[in-house]
Amino acid sequence: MTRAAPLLPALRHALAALLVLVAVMPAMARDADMRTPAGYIVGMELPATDPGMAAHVQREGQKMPVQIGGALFDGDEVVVRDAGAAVTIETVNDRQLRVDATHSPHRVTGALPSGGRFSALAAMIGELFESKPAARTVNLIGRNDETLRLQMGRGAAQRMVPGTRLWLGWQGGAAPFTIEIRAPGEGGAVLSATPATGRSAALTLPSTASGPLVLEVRDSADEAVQVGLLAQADPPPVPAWISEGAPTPAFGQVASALWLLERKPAEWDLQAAALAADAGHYAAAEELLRRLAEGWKPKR
Amino acid sequence: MVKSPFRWIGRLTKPVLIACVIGFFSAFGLADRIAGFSANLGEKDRMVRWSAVLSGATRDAIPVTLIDIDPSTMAALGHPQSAPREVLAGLLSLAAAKHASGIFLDMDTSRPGSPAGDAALAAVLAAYPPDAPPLALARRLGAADQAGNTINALAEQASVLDAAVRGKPNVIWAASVSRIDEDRVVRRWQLSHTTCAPGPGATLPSPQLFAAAVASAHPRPLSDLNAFADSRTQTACAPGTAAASPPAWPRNPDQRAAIAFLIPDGPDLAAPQFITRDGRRVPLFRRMPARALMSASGAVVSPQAVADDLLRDRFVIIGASHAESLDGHLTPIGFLPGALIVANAVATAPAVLSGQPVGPLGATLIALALLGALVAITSRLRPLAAALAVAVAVLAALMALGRIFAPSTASDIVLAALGMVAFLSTIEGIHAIGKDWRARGWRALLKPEKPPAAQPTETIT
Repeated sequence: MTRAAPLLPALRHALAALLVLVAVMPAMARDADMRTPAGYIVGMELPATDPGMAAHVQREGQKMPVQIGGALFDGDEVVVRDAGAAVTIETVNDRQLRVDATHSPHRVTGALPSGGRFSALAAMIGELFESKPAARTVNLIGRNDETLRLQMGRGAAQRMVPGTRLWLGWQGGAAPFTIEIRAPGEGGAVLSATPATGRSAALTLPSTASGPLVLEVRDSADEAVQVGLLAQADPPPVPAWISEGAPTPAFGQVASALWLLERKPAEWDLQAAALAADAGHYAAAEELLRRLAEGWKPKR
Repeated sequence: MVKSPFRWIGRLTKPVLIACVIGFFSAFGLADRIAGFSANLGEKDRMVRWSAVLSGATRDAIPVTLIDIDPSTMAALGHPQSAPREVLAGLLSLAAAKHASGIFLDMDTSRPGSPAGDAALAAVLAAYPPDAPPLALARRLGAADQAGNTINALAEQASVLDAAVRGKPNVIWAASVSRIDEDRVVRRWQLSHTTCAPGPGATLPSPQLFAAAVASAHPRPLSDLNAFADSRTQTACAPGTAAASPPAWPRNPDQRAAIAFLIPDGPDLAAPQFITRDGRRVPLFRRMPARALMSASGAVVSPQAVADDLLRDRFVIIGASHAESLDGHLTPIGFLPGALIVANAVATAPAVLSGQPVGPLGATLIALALLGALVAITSRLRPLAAALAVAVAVLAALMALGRIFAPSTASDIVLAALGMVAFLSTIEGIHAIGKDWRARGWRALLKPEKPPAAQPTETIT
């Protein structure tokens, strides 16, 4: 009898755990049937011919087509294969993100808040302690479009090695955009023209390019911004020890980019961005690119 | 007994401590929050919003997708004066091809656009198949004298699409009219709009009435709608004729129900995000900029490029939120484009229209019963406990009444009961002052002084 007494609470706990399990398991099974998405696909830049080859969503081992408005779930991977293709997604953790071949595959995480009366009640009680947001008027002149601004590579003509896949980010302007590389002067020959609906693009400097060129971003309102390019065969003078000493290749790419960004004069900024973009889906590289697009410059 | 010369120190202790606490909170910005809390608590529209969420407005809710001609779309189109009708034609075809449950084109077509655009839209409507999703087009309502109508303030205006949709069984005209209160805030809908002249008269349904009809399980949903419209026209325009039996649908044809504003113009955790429909969890509301459904050339993408979930079995509103549309209104949840007001009304229409109807007398009696319950609950409680009890009782009443009646009726009843509580408290206060006035004169306005504490009795042994 004396040994049996401690068993009673243990049995009670086991029974409680079993009851909890029985109660929770059907709920879990139901949740699997009624998953809450993490977000949606809100834009596509895919070739008209065979878009399925250019990009897809990988879900539980299966390829799903990329479609506008398609739901994305936790664990999905957005895969973009085609160099000129991109998929724009809006998810709970990424907000709005343009996934191109450089940043592919992009793994989706999280789930949208599902709401419900009790979470609504909690949110509303929380609202009581929040001050009201300042109101903003929209007049008929302001069209909510900021001026098109390109802040990367504006310090000096940018040296680039022909054949390099470069990355460009800008702000403002009205989509869609066209990015052109052409010879300087009015009516200069166009070497490449790349369409974009987002505010960044990856494009290749043609291997035949040489000498001074112009890189121009033009929006749908015909506003344009330019930077000067200088195609040259010599690669940038990045010391080999940076990449050799880096713990990972991606880390080495970012470190090399930072080294280039510190050079005077600032003629390797676009080449640095190209290096960072080449690091693939690497958080530090993405952060660097985002800041470069916003106009950040290292103290040289 | 000698009074202490330092007794004022004791009297000042409490206010000084309170001042110190408030000063401490102010230093960290908390005083503003506390002030904001009390201001927020007393805001009428906040009550309306809470009641919208809690009173079952998502019962049988209609999932809505808004295809939004937003500023970015207009920018992509080169800032035209209005949305090009070629684009509207493409979006309409897309929604129909993706098997939307119903479509509402919330665009003014009373004036001609570009010839090519008008022709494209008219061609799509003229070829609109009878088995395509039911479609409602927004009819512009203008000043009465423009149409020679002297009975109603607003009369129907002609549209460039009239000829194209004539005789189409699944294409109707709708009146998207909301009631604007004295403070210029939109809180209530108008379920239908009847004009009695010229001709025998006609009733235009609101988009939410149309959507609820389409969402009903009836095999010919528009026949319900037509029966209701005929009944309204007869009641309004020929009141002396033999009364027909009232239409069986909708159960609660409340012409001016409060709109349950659940869908804001941005992210909002307090709004319900998903509903369960046919065993599936679907988002209550989705908003897609029209730009996302257009290629770089400005043409609408093919149906294959668009996910089924975005449009299939959802009520699709094609509307505008760009500044040039001049269609924005104040609502209890902020400034909303007209298309979003329609989306709110559509999403929550079944809960209102299927609720148990109750007249003004019935609503007043229920409010009085609720008042009695609140008074009984709080009569023996201190103010803080009474306030908490009232809050809990109000939430419970909203949830319970919202299941029986329309959510708008539930919130009306609860707000009326709260108003009665405030009125009763005022009357009680006046009565107490009146009773004291004879004995204390103007001092009846002051708090009664506390009776002196009883002195302990000393026992001499």
